[in-house]
Amino acid sequence: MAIKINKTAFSHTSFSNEDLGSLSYIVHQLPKKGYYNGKIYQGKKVIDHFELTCSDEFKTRQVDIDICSFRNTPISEKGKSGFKVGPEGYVVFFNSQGTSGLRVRLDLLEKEKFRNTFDNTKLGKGDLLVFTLLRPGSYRALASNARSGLNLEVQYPTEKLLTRRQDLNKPVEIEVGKKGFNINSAKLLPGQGLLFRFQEPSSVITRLAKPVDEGKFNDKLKLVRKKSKKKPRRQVHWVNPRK
Amino acid sequence: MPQINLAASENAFRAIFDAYRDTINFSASNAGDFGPFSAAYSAGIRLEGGTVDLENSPDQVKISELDVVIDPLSLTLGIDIPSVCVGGFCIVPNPFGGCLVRLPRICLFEADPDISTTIDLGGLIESEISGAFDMKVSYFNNPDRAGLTDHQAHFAAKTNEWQLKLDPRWLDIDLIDISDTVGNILDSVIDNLVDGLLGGLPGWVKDAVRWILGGMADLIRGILDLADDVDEWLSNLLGTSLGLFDFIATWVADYFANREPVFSIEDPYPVIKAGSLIPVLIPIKNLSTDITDVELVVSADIG
Repeated sequence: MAIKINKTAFSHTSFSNEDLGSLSYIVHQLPKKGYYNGKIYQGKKVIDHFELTCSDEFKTRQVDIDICSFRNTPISEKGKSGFKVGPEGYVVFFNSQGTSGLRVRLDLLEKEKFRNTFDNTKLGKGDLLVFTLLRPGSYRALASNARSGLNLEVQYPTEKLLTRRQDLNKPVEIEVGKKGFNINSAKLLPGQGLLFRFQEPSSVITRLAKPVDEGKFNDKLKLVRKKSKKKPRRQVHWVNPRK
Repeated sequence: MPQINLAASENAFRAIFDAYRDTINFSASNAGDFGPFSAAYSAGIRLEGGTVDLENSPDQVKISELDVVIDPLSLTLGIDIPSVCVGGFCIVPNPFGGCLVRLPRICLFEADPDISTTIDLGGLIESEISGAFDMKVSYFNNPDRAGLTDHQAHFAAKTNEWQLKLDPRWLDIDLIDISDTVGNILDSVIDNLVDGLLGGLPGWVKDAVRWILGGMADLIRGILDLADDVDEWLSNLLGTSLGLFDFIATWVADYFANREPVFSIEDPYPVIKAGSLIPVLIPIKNLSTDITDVELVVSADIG
């Protein structure tokens, strides 16, 4: 029984837009139609680039770009990836394998020059940042443009919380403004999204402060035995076909 | 032609049958794929107890409540666990309905994991077989006898035989009881499956996966289509889906009617056994049986 487990997803305890790792997403709406050149960095070194075209020709409103896929691209394929999205379309950057140290930036071609419009190391107004925190425990989130922080608690998964499982599809929303976060604390379910809406340019980092290991998810089948006394059930009535 | 009659009382026949029954044991196995899950069993089966009655009009041997002991019995359940993924929710709703941007799902396993667990149900299922049997007379030409004289075959135990077999008219198999412990054993399936899937990982990871899946109990109950009545579920799985009881009925019918005689008579028959002289062997012809309420009578022409 060889099952490959996405180990980085379980071991990831530090989340940041600057180092977009496992279970993290950035949603960026393209400011203008046009031709964008995307660059993927590993540290300070460009490891690949891609084309992104935003045009009336395309009806798609969303393009998903898995930044870790560029790391494993064969040399012959480097620079050949092309993405297309309609006007006012959204780009969703994520890192399915959780490879660390990757950075992405977008440059828009204007008047024969490239102008930087996006860099994941500093998100701008309107950008969305989503983390999925799996590990139960206390987390501390900090925004680079403010001194105050945010305390987060990821609850230990128990049978009691199952009634709130539908909330997995409803991320906890937090605004990042001039003074930092709009709230001081929040409680999350394990695997529930944590959504930061950027009203001001900033960066957010969220770290596990104290894990919680106590608890037990102890669901049982709770099988019902319907019998009150021995009552034979006929399983087979076999009649000799030759008789 | 002179005739010989041998009679066995009902009690004597019961003793013959008990000895015959105690030699019977066989094994069975089968497997099936039922969509979201697969199941396979491996069983050893023997017969115990039972009551034997001789009946006149029609002549038949009635066997009732013959215990079918299914031990060992291992049942392997294989389950396709669905993807365990996070994300996938709407992040930018469309004000006019629907969703403008939905996050990609990130899965915690590389593929939908298939996991299996084996549970031991040996001796926990109590069933019985009953049936009515004709006494079938057949003649066995022993292939090993070729080239031997009657006496050589007699001394070498390679004689031909008249054989009396129990040829079933009908057989019933009833499931009498499933032990209460089966419920506990099935409950342990969840922990076994989780350990098989995530063995070696910390407890919180196992619990998180169980939680994201919505609880393994409901998931497994749904996948296995575990009805409210676990006895009915198990008897349907083993009996209807995997055909265990059909196999037992067919095997027993074939064994009784065609394979092993309940009683055999050497031909030629040693009317005087070997002593200081060589035995006196007399050919037996036209063997027939008559069953009354109190005895089994075997008649034959001799000489």
